[in-house]
Amino acid sequence: MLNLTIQQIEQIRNYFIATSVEEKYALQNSISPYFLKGFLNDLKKLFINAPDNETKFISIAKSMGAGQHIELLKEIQQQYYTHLAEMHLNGNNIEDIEQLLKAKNQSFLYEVSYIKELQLAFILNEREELKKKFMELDKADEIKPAEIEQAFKHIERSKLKQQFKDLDELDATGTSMVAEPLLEYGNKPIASKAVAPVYNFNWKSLAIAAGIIGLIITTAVFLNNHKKAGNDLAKENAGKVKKVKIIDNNQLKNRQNKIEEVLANNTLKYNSLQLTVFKEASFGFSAKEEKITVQIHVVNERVAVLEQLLTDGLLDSTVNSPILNAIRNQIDSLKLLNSKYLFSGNILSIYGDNISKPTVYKLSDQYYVRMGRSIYAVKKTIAPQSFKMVSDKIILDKIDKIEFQQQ
Amino acid sequence: MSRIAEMYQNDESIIEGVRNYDDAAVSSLYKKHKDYCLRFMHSKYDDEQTIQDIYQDAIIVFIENIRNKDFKLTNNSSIQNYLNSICYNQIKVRFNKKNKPVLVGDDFENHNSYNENINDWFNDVNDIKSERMKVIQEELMLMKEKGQQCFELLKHFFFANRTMDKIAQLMSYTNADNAKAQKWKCQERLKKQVLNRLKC
Repeated sequence: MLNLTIQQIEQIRNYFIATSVEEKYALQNSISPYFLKGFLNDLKKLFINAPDNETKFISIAKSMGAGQHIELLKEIQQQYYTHLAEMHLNGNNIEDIEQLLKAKNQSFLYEVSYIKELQLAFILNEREELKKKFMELDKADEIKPAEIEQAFKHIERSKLKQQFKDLDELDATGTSMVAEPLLEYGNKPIASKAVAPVYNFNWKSLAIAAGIIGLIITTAVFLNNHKKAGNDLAKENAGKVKKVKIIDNNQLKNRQNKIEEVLANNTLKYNSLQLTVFKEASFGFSAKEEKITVQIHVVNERVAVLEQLLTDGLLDSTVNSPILNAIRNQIDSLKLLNSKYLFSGNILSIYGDNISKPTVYKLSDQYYVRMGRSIYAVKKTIAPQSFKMVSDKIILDKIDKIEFQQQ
Repeated sequence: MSRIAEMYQNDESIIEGVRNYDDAAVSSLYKKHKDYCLRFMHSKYDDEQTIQDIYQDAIIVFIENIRNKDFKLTNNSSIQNYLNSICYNQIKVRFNKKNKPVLVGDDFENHNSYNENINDWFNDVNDIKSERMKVIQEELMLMKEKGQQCFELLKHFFFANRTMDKIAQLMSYTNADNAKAQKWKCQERLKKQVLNRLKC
């Protein structure tokens, strides 16, 4: 009777899971000489021919002298099946696989389906991970107004400090001799009078943010170019005399102050009103009074300030073109908002100029706003909408009635 | 321009990065083509959420194709064109089974934006509904959360399709057979956990 040692078992295990013929051959040779020559072949037959019948398996194993190691042999068999199943799924069908398939060996078929599911489970998990990642990427793109403001302040504060330092140095030297461009653009003091923007909708945030971020980025681009230009200039000056423009400190400071002042108004101002929503009178207990916040955003004022910045010649079109483009983009974004509204259900944002004080009505869950003589229907929306004037006589009559009752 | 954006400026570099499981390449792929693809779909449909879902799925289909097949973009085709094409076909499948969507506006009138014959999509949708599959997924996630070596080992083999030699090298096993033996133990452990849960 043959007694298998643990080492031999491991060798057998390795023999069965070896990936190449060469390895198998080497392992076969390394197994001790008294190990019966045909044992491995018998064992292979055991795994392939005595499949799902436990009694038969044990009987064959005992006849091969491996009765003490039934559990280990079963484990090796299982491992071998896994190996074959992987080969099968990779399209490499050897004779053993064909035999197992022909015999519809349940253990083998189970292993094949388990591996398929395992592969698919990894794929599905990866898909979920990717989806999460995409959502995070989208989230990262959604810049909250507070973050923009914070970032803006942070950048501008440090730039301002640097600029003051530069100005102090200029004061100390008197007249400066610098090549164009002279100014670092976008250095803005923290706005003391600007109303803090409270944006409620992504679309709006992004429209405004695009402009502001554009300014920040292009400022950074410009600063970088400016610095580079400065370095290049220094290099050039080392070799030859360059024609330079002489500007005194007062002129420099005036230009800087002007740009700072313009950019200090970089937020869109609005007036906020808390208005009662007027409804049709009802009998019985009076319903709780509904209030909504109406924010009137003065778009054209901000547009005019930015347009002035474009026309007053403070920015050089050749050197400052990215900044000019950013300003133009911001103007376009603001103009798109003009004469439109956003409504979240409790905050109504109206964009425009010369807006008369609105009055809000509600008829059967539909909101209406009177501005001047006209009445407009407003719906909940996350994208800016144009006002639609109400012409339905029944609705107008009902609103008239409400107004009469309120008087 | 960020370092990542510089690295992944053209289709070839993105494909190569995605194929090598580079996270930055995936991010770059997702962001670079999103606006155009969404506008492309918006030209027909307004359902923002569905359009977003289709786009994300299209990116995943593309990633899986790059990683699993000997995938090549056809002549005159770009990643953008490929994504547009599969998004276009998905819209057709989901919303407009009878009528062909009419894409209008901008450059979408130029039908070079997409190719109707490219209609790749997930082909395993019917295989993923079994209870056992769900349990395997959950057990794998648990394995991952616990930071087990087994998860990495199995992922290298079953997901990234790496050879045992490569895995042994990556995970510092002395040879491929050792790695394979370890992989089998992990597989068996997972199988037992799955079966235990299914029995409960």
